[in-house]
Amino acid sequence: MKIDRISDMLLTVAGLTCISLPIIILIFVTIRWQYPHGIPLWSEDICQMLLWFITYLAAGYVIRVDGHVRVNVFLEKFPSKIRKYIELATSAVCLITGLLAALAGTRAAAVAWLEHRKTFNDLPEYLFAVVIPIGLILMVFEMIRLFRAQIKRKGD
Amino acid sequence: MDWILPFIFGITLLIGLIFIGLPVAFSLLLVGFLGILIWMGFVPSFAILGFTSIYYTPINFLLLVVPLFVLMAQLLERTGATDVLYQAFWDLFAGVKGALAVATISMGALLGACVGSSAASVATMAHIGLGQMLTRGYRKWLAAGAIAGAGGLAIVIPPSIGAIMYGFVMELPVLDIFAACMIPGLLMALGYCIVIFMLTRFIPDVAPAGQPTRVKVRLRSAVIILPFFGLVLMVMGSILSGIASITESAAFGCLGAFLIALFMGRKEKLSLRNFLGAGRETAISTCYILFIVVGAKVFSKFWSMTGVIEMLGETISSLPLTPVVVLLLINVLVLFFGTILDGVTIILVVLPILGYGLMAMGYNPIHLGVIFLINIEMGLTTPPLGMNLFILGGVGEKYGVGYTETVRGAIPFLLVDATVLLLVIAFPSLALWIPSLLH
Repeated sequence: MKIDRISDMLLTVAGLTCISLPIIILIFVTIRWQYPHGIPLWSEDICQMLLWFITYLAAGYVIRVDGHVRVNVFLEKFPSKIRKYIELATSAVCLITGLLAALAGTRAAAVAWLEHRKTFNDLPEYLFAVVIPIGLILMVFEMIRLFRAQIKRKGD
Repeated sequence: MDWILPFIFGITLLIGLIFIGLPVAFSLLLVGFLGILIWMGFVPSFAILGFTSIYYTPINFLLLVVPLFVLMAQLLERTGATDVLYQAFWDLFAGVKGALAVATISMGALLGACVGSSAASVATMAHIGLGQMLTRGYRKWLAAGAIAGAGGLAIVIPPSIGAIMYGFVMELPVLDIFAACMIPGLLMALGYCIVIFMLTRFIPDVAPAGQPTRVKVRLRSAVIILPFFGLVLMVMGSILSGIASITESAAFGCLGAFLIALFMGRKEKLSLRNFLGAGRETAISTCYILFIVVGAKVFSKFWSMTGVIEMLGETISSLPLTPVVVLLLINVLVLFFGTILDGVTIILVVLPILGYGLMAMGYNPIHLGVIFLINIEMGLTTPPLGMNLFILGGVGEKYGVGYTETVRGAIPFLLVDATVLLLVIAFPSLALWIPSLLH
C-alpha cells in the first residue's frame, strides 16, 4: 500500500537522521578544536531540531508496528470477546488523541511558519518544524487504518 | 483542598487508560489535555499541547543523548559485535563453575554501560546467552535468572537512559547522577557474581565448569574485551573528566561503537543495510521514548497548574513519620509501579511528585535518583508482573524456559538488589562520594 511505503520512507529518513547526528556533532567538535572562536553558534540548534525529524517522522511507523509502550497484562485477563471490544475502544481513544495531537502540532508549526520563528541563534526554526505536521498526520492515517482493520476483524 | 479533585481525576483516568492497554504516551497526553481543558479551559489546553509539549519538548539538548546512546548499542548488536564479546567472556572464564553466568553478568555490566536500556539489554542477552548456557548444561532457572539480573544492570550502570531521564525531569546535572550510580552499579554486579559462586558451591550440578581453555585463548579473549572496556572508559571518562559534554561523549561513543563493529563485528553482518537498520531501530526507540516525554510534559503541566505536585510534595513531607520510614514506603510504591510500568514512564510521571516530597524532608535529589533507579530495576524483575521477566519469557519459550523457572532464577539476584538498595539508603556516601569528588 502507498501509505506503507510513505511510512517506511519517513522512517528511513528518521534513521538516516539518527546516523547523521553523531557525525554532525563530531564535525562541530573538530571545528571547535581547530578554530576555538569560529564554531557556528547555531550548531546546537540544528542538532536539537533534528530531534523533531526522529520523533515525528518515525511516529507513523511506530503506530504501524505497535511500537509504543503499553501494559497488556490486565487486558489479557479478559475473555476474548470482551477483550476485542476493549481493544476497539482503546484504538478509538488512541485515534482521538492522535487527532488532537496532530491538530495542536500542526497549529504550532503553522504559527511558527507565519511568524517566521527563528531560534535564539537566528536559524529559521519554522522550516524544520514542517516535519511535525507531516509526521503527525501520517500517524493519524496509520491509526485510522488500524482502527478500520479492527472493526473489520470484529465483524468477521 | 482544591488539588484533591484534579489529583483523583488524573490518577484514576491515567491508571484506567494504561490498564485497558492505551499506549502510555497517549494516556498521559489525553489525561493531561482533558485535565487542563476542564480546569483551565480550551485555549490553554490546546496551546500547552501544541507549543509547550509537541513543539518545544523534543528540542531539548539533554534529550539528544537518547538517540546517540541507543544508536551506539544498535551498532554493536546489529553487527554481531555483542556475540563476539560474549564468546570472549566465555573463553576467558572457561573451566570455572558458573563461568558463563559470570560472563553474562560481566557482559550485562559492560553492555548496560553501552546500551542504557534494561529491556534492550535483557532481550539482547537472552538471544545471545540463553541458548549458550543451556547447551553447556546450565540449569534453566540459573540461566534465566542470570540474564534477568544482568539485564537490569543497564538501568543503574551509567550511561543509562533512566539516569538521563531523571536528570531531565528533576533538572539535575546528568553527570552527577551518572557518577552517583557507579559504585552501586558495580556493587550489584559484584553481588551477582558472589551469588553465582555460592550457588555453584552449594548445588554442584547447577552450572558445569566446562573445558578450561588454553592461556593463549584466554589472552586473546582479554584482547577482544579490551576495546569494549575502552569504549566505556572513553564515554564515561570524557564525561567525568569534563573533556566533553554528555552529548559529545555520546557522539564519540557512536564513533567508537562504529569502529568496534567495523573491526570486530561478524563479516556477514557488516553491510550498509545493517547500519541503516541500526539507524531505523534507533529512530523507533527514540520516537516512543520522546512521545512519552511529550505526554508526560502535558500531564505534569496539568498537575503543576492545578497545584497537585506542590501539595502532594507538602503532604508527603508533613506525614507524621520519620524520613527513613517515608522513604521505605515510597520505595515499596516505586517497586510496585516498576512491576507494571515502563522505567521511563515511572521516572517522568511518578518520581517528580515523590521526589519533591522527599527533598522537602532533606534528602539529596542525586541520592534519591540512585535509590529510585535501583528500585525501578528491581520492579522490572519482580514477579508476577516485572517487564524483564516477560521479555525473557518471550525469548525463553524457544528454549523451553518457562515463566516459573525465570522467576525462580531471578529471586537470588533480587535479594542482591535489595541489599544494595538498603546499603545505599543507609550509607548515602556510596552514591554521593564520586559526585562530591567532581565538584
